[in-house]
Amino acid sequence: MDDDVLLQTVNLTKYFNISTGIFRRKISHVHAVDGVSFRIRRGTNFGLVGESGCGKTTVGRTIIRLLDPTGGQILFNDDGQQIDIAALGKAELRKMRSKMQIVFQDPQSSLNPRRTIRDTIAEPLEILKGMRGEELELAVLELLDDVGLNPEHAQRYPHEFSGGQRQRIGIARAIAVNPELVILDEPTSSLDVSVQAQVLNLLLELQKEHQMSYMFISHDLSVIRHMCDEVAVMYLGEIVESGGIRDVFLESKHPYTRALFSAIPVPDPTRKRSRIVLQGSVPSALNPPSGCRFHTRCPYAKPICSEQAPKEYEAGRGHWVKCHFQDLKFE
Amino acid sequence: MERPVARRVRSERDLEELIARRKENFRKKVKFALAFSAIIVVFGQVYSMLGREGTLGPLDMSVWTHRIFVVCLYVLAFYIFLKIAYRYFDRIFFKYRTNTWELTWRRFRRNNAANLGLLIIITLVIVAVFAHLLAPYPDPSKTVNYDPNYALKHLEEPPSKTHILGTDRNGRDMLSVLIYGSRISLALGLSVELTASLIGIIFGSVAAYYGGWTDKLLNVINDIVMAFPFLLFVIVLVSVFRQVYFSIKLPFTDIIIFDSAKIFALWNGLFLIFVALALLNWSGVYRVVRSRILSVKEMEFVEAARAVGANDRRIIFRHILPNVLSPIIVLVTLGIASVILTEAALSYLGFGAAEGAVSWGRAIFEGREYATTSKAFLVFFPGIAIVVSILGFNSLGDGLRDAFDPRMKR
Amino acid sequence: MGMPLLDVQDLKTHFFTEDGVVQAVDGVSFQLEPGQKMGLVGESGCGKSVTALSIMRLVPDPPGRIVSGRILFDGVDLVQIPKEEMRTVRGRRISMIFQDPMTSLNPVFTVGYQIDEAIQLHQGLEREEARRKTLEMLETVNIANPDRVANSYPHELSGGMRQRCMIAMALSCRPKLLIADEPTTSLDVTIEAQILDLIDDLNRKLNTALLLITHDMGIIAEMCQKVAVMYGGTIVEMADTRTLFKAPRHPYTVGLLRSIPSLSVEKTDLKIIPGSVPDLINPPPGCRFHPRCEHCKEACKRERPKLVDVGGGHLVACHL
Repeated sequence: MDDDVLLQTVNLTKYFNISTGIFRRKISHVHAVDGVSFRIRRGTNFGLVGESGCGKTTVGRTIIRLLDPTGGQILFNDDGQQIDIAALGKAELRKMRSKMQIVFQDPQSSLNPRRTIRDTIAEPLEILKGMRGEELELAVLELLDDVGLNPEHAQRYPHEFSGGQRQRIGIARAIAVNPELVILDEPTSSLDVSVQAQVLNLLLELQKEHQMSYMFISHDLSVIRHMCDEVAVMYLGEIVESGGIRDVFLESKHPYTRALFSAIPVPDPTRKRSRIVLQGSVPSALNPPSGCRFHTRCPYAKPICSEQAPKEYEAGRGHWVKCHFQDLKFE
Repeated sequence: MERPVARRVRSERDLEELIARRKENFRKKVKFALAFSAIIVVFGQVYSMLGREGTLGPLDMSVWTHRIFVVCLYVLAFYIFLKIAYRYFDRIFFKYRTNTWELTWRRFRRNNAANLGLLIIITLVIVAVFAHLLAPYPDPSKTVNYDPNYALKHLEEPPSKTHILGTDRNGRDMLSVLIYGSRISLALGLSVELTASLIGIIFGSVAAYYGGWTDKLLNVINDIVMAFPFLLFVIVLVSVFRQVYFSIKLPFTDIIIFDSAKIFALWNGLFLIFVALALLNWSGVYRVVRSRILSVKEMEFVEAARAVGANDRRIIFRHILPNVLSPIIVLVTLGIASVILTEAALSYLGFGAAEGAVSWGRAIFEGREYATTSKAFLVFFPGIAIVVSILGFNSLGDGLRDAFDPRMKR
Repeated sequence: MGMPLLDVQDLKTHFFTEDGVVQAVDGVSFQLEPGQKMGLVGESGCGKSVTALSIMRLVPDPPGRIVSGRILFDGVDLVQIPKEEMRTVRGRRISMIFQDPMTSLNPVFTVGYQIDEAIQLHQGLEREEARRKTLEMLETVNIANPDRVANSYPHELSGGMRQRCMIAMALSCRPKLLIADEPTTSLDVTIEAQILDLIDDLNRKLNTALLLITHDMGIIAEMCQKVAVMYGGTIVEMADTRTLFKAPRHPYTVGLLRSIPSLSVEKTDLKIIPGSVPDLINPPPGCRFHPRCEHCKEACKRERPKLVDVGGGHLVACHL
């Protein structure tokens, strides 16, 4: 593994079992994540985009072992040593937790309403860094200050803060142990536009100060564009296109990526958009379509697309696309 | 309130000041709690010294007026204390930290019925605890206090100057019976509820946390308990213990570990009721605990706690349980009311407190023949006592429920 | 042109709560021509949803009440007419679709039944007739097998389908005005594109006027001909879409447009608007935006600016 790669997943898979009957027999599984591989380099931000149900949230949770993967490896570069997170036992996992943290989507439900924010932020410091007493209190107050909150409010409860402030508390909790990688699961979806801007700016500031890498999971392409250096597009559990931001956004090669980008309403009334409107809706992950999973909605589908799963090809340096056809002519 | 991201402007000294201030607040609260307890204890001691154990017989009027004075003083002090407490409660507990509890407290204060309920219950507790000071006549359940001659002369007297609420069938003063009877009702209610809740919490937590077969098994047990014919069970239990004598001996020894007569007589016959009620009344708590834990378990902050490395024990005790407690408090309060009622009903049927026991239900039982006659006071006064206390508990329980879970009345 | 279809004049809706009077909508005026598409944009708490509910007289009363103003729809003042008459207007002449179709459709009835009900209520048809119209409507909203969908329950359908059913229900009686309150916020981007296209299509075919409420400037840019920006319960700027995006005049609009990360800008700092939304129980005196405005002057703190025409129907409420 290259030295500048912080995290790499190899064929990460996560299936959820569906079982019925008194004896809970497994009858099928949901292919939430099916063979996902990507890498995050140190000091850069990585974005994972896709619509609901594509599995991006599951990827985020699995990387941090809140869910256990069904298969594949999650390789973390711990000071030159490569550790497979997927294979760790509970004790070693605890040690790794101080290197990777997560910020959740909904700030309202990710904070325990019955605990003060001081308790919430102190928790990782207590458990993972073993801090106590004065040192702990000072650390908590400093963290609050770092994220732009008033340290005097440490004894307040989450419900007394606004949505943006709660998200800052979540961020404070995540950076408390100074992790190397922070996974942000839709951190600004529930916020207003102006608050979103404040939070995004805060994240960039913190990154410079603490030298972390971010993994952004979002369906909001403009946020990803703003914050990330590399991006991967997911559809129904697979990555269909990945690469540098410029490549994927400006020279997207996969029909789904194209459709996704063209569907976003752009705040510019002068741009006449040629929208690719996809037919139908996302198929169920219980029984994904055969061959290329996108073929049921792809405007360029040919017979081969339903028979064979496509292999990835390299469309440019580091720009990978999973499609049978290279250089599709998009009308 | 929100400001753009600031540089680290606070000096070490400022932060230390903040910490010092928080310690100060904590000390204030501790002082308040100590002061409160001290007042209660002092009150109790002072009046305990002044009060005298009266003797049966034509009552010494000076002692009687003294008793009335004590009662009035208590009530007055109580109201004043409550007023001050309400005001300072806010200031001390909520000034330096606002709470999720503050909103709850505010809603509770506004609910008149709930406040009345709280008042009734606190009065009840005071009456039960200080019964020996408040009752005009000594403890009716202790036969040593009774002069049989006096008793025989004053059977079933209507209310008079010497006996404010009259006397009961055994010649005991009704007011004293009611006052001492509150002890039984309260004690039984609390003990049954606490035991039943404990069972419910343990079973509910286990079922919710482990799921699978454990959950299914406990659910089945719960269904059986819910469907169990309570009255039948109690009647059978009491009859058996009353009529059949059996004992269990440790093998090869003469040590008796289980003696049915003793069990029956324990607590004047109420021990069996306690057992029956505690064993059969935990369904409500079980269901609520289980459903709350199931829903809280899936909440994101539990996952977040796991992400920062919390182990199972920490998650259960620090994250899940505090969120589960509020509905339980409501259930327990309402449960006490139902226990009091059940005990009264059982005693009325003759299966509750035994002969000689001082309980409201027993009093109604003893006076039941006269319910429609001129001696209806024998039934009326204990009935009022029961109604008032149940009302108090129910209002408090409803008020708590509304405070914890306000519904939009709009 | 003649008389506008909808003419809101100085609408004020307040909520009387235990904590105080929330001045959710405080003096909102705008006009909508027949067949025109207008957007009402603003962040959460600015009063746009309440405005829509006020037009439909669906504001929960208590604690809310329309305290003053007129809402002229086809010449009739909706604030004054009695409840029974309003019920004939609602659903038949003005329709509304909401943000989350899962909660606005009754989960225990099939979708078809609910649309039938709407048609029967307003057009007085028999069940078979109504069912035929329902299927017609479902086809109009591009649902492939209307029969199957009509017999499905809301939870059996996907989000996009549910929203289409809502649209079908709303348009079943051919209303003159459709109010859409954040219709696509809960949907995926590709589905959102389908729904927006559909609404656009129907607006053209049926000549239904559209009042679109959203916080997404992109949707406004795409869909609307005219847009009003709300802040703190009032309209701070109103113009036709091109003008607003090209030359916004109100500092809030400017700030809002600048804080949106766009698809073509590099990783730089977004210009943010400092502070947070005003408390509507005690709004700041004078101009509601002045605590956050970088051009704030003395006059802004004292007097509330009125909407002034700065040229070509472009209205701005600002002292500058």
